[in-house]
Amino acid sequence: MRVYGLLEKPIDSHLKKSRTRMRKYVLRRLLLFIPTLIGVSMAVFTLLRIIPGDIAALILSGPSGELTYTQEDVDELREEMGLNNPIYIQYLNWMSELLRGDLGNSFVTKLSIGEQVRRQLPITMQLAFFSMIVISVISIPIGVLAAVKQDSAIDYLLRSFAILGLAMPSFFVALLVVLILSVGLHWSAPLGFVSLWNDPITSFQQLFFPAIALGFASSGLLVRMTRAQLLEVLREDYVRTARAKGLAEGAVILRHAVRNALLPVITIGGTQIGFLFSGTVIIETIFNIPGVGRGLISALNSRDLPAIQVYIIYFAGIALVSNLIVDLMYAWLDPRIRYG
Amino acid sequence: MAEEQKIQALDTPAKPLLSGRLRKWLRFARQKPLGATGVAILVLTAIIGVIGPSMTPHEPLKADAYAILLSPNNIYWFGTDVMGRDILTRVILGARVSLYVGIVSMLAAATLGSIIGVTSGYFGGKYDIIIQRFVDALSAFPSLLLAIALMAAFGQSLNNIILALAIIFTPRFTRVIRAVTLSLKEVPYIEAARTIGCSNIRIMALHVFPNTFASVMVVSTASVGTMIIIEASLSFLGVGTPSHIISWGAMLSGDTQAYFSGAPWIGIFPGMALTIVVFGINVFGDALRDILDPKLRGR
Repeated sequence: MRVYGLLEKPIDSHLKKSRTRMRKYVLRRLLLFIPTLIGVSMAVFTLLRIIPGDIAALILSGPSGELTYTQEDVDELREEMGLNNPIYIQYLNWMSELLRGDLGNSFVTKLSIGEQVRRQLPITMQLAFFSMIVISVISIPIGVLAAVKQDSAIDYLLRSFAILGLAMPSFFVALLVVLILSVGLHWSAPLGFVSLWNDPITSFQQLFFPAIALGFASSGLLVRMTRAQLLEVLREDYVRTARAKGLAEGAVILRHAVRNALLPVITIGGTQIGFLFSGTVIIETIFNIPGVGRGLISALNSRDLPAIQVYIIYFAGIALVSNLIVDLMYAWLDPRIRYG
Repeated sequence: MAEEQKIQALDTPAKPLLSGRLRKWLRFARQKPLGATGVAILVLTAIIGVIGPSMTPHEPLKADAYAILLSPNNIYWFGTDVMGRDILTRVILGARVSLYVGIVSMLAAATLGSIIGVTSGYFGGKYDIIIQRFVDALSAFPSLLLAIALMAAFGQSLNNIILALAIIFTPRFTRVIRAVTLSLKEVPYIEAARTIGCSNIRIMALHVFPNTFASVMVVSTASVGTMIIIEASLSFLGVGTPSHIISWGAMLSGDTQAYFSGAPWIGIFPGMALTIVVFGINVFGDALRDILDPKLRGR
């Protein structure tokens, strides 16, 4: 119990309390994050150990099973990879290497996977970032427009567009984009790839259409969310108050309603980031972009186990981190959460 | 008021002309035209899926060197692909794989999810905590990625796709059914059943489970569309169905990408089939959810 002096305003103390609460919430959330990450890494490691057949034999037989090998080769490789140790020893060894920044070497190219991922990562990040912009630019205005014009022809048109976006698989959307581009604009997917830092304009041009394809494929859900949330908020008392005090309809919608409606949309949008990154797997394959997603697929096709492992952990990590960021952002935006 | 009574009187004729079930369906179609469209699409797809193999106009696997990449014409309605195979035939046969994978994985995930969800919510305690941690961990993965990882571990086959999808979607069912079970636990008739000495298994099977059914239906219809898209995506990436099985997703991969801009029909028809079926499931699911669970409307 504290007695407030005259110089100390209670409001300051309230703010301080709220700040410590926030700090506690962040700390709790961060602490929960670590066991989840460990759990996920264990799951991936075990999962990839249940591949039918001997991993060493699988590697020695080559990408399409054309190479011959002897039992001695298999034994030697098993020894070298530490496959004869119990699985938890294997996991601990792998984890300690991972923590020291050594992601291991690819079975196929014999090159460092870390190097490879470092080269691919910026490209995928760039693609995901561009498509996030596309998604926000497409889905929020469309959702708002559909809600404001509820049950009009525009609403039905925009909603059908959203339902269609949800029903179309992203690879089909991407192929249609390629078709429109090549027939209409005589554009073809670039063979090489220019990084953002060397030549920003060319790099932007290269990623523009892939980002649109990925963005369109992922915006259906957010359009529906924005519309539904805004409709709910528009029925709230404070919106009626805002209207009653004579504010212009535009100001009521933009300043009072949309701001509140977007909170849950941000949460859903945040959980979609993980899905967005798994969408890059498909888009990068179609548009021939040398990012992490295509890296995963080529690792899968050549059964490059250490690489597959790293890629999957990387994608799961992105999903977990984006969930974490969204949770924290949500608590920061909406004080009710951290008091809960 | 009088007007209302008149409408009611008109609405309920003394002798029902149609059987009750059919009238129910007609009312559904009037209230939810989009949902009814969804049902029609699904029924049509199911018919194609069942009788498809006996109504294909051409041999699905027969390559014809004289009919490579023909545009749609009166012999090959949807055109032919790179190997001279009829696209229409392959689209018809592809319906089977999509429906089979969708329905069987949905049933598997719903069964597993119901058992785990009901027991987890009913018993609570340590068992519940452990189950929920598993559910959280599995939900952390983006579903397509988890599917790719599982397929890498299991190897390519139709049944492995179903297994992977069941693993991915069970947590969704578990979460919803557990929540419903938790609220049902407090209901008087469950208490009454316990008082008269029903066993836990009897209470769960006869009193709790039937009351979670509406939620199971909602989650099921919401999941099938995604399941079918994931199967198609896996097949598209070349890690799903083995190459001898005709799947819509696989029809869009490989050579199709190279020839697509010159011969769009090789990809457009299977892609459209996929979109239409998923669209049908989604709008049917939306309508069903509105009827069964008004609280979730608009989500």
